[in-house]
Amino acid sequence: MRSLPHELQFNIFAQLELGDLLNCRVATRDWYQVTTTLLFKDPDPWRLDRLLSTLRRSRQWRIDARSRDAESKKGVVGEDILSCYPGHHVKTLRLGPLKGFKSRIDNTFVNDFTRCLSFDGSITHLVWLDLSDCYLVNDTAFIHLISSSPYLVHLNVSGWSGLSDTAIKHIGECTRLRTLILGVIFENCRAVGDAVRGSRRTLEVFCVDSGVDWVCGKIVLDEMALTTLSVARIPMCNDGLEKVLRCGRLRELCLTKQESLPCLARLGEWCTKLVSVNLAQTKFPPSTLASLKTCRSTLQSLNLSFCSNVTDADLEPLVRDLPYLLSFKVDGCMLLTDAPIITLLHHSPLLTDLHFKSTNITSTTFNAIVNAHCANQLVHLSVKHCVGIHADTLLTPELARLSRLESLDVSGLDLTHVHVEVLARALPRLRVLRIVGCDGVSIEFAREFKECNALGEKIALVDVYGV
Amino acid sequence: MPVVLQASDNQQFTIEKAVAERSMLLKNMLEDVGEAGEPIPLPNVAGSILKKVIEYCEHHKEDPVPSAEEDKDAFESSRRKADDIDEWDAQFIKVGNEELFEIILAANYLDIKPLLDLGCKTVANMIKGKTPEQIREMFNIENDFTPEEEDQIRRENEWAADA
Repeated sequence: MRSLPHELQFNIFAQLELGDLLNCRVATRDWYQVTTTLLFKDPDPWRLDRLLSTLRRSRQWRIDARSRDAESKKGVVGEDILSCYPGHHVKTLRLGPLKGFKSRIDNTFVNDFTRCLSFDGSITHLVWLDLSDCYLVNDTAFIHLISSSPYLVHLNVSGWSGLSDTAIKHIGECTRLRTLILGVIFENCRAVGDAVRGSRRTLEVFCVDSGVDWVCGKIVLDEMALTTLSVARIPMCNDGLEKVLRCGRLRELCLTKQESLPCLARLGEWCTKLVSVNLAQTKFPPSTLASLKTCRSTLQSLNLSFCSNVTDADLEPLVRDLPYLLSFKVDGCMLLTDAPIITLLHHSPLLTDLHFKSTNITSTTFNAIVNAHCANQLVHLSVKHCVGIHADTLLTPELARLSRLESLDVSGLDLTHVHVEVLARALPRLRVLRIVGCDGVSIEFAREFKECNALGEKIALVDVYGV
Repeated sequence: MPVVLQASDNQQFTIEKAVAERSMLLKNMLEDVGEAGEPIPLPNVAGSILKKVIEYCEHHKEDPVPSAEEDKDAFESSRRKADDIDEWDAQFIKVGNEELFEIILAANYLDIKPLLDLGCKTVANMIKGKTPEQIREMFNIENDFTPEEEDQIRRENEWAADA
């Protein structure tokens, strides 16, 4: 079937129902593109007439593939997606713009959309609504849409500050939400509690990021069986958090910039299936890390960036028990020394991401990295401003063991031109090399290296300015 | 007046005009050039496939030719009856994968819409109810996704299929 041109494959896929189409989507890259075009058709459904014709056409799964060229994406809602079930029941409405584009979804669009779909009752099929970054939409239109969609299951309104508390409270009318992603969209933390009120029993994923530091008020969550909880820069109420943790279903936890939360001391005791833990810039009790030993068989990502009070003694009990760890970040943990990290490297053979920015690790750790089991798995490595690493350590022949490394940050180390040449030659997959503020490497050299050197060509970015 | 077709391997087939006119390409060609009696070269179609296509056209030569207006709705009607394939057609299209794709390509080139629909429907029916792994095996295609990519797509699929 691969021998057939795309238009004929298109004919074939157009005969399939959703389930089969989705299976073809996973089969091979080529089919992925053709079926995705069929499924997520019109790139700019922001005009009502186009929207409606898309809905009508979608009965037949027949969509014009040509409309997805680069030109038509420009400035509009990008890959915005309107995937529909046959019978023009809109199930999924994703209006958030592509990264780097500005949303053009406005009140008129949302109001027209709500009216059209309410007219024949098909709006009750809407289960997935993504309004991220739709900053032109105001309270009234949002409330109208939310109140008309009783069966909403997933709602994403991140990156958007146009909504008031009143609008947020209306989310509380939804009683079946499983996913709720809020942005910085409220003046009072109590509104957040109201937003999750209706779907307390069903909500699994709850994320909220204030974008800036929050000064007053705390988020109060009730007893909820969440699997993902992400709260950034807004204080959590300790009692509420404890209730959520005690439910024990959490798999992903992200709590950044939190002041003291005593209940975290028993995090691992209550939640034994954590996959990802991010406590960046949060002050947690010393025994928190030791308690995570219960997540031995699940934990893949641990981020303790700028938890400046983490000591070797806190980390030591855990480092032998993370066999499935993929990502480990301890940027700015000034109190850490080589010892626990070397033990970790020895016991976690699957690591792909290591971030040690501004720590006191020394050449000993670097040597341990290139000699570790995980060396040939590593994709990202940052030792920025690790002044304890002697530049000549990088010249070790073992460097070649980092055969999959794609990005390396050695900014602030005492490098010379020789080091850059050696790194570029020894690391076959290197695409991004950051050497910001390396006094021994002049900007002229970096430019020349990038433009005139065969080694520079294979590296997409040599960053000397801190881009 | 018979029409002579010449396949890519120089095999020649002599057929009735009514049979040739099932193909919009040949119909237009015959109208344009008149009936010169010269063999019409079809460099994109192998003899073995052309033989099959002629067999189909022979069988369907009595069918009414769809008008332009009907043609517009043809997609919808074919969509509705995706599983509904005529018995003779079903027997006719029981061929190996490679041959099936060759027939689809020939039908597309010769512009024989009912045959094209039949071919596409048949392939679609083969896909129905199969897992991605079975689909790959059936069409002998390789999984060219990385495990991460495949995982990501399966997750996207989950919400798309979410009821």
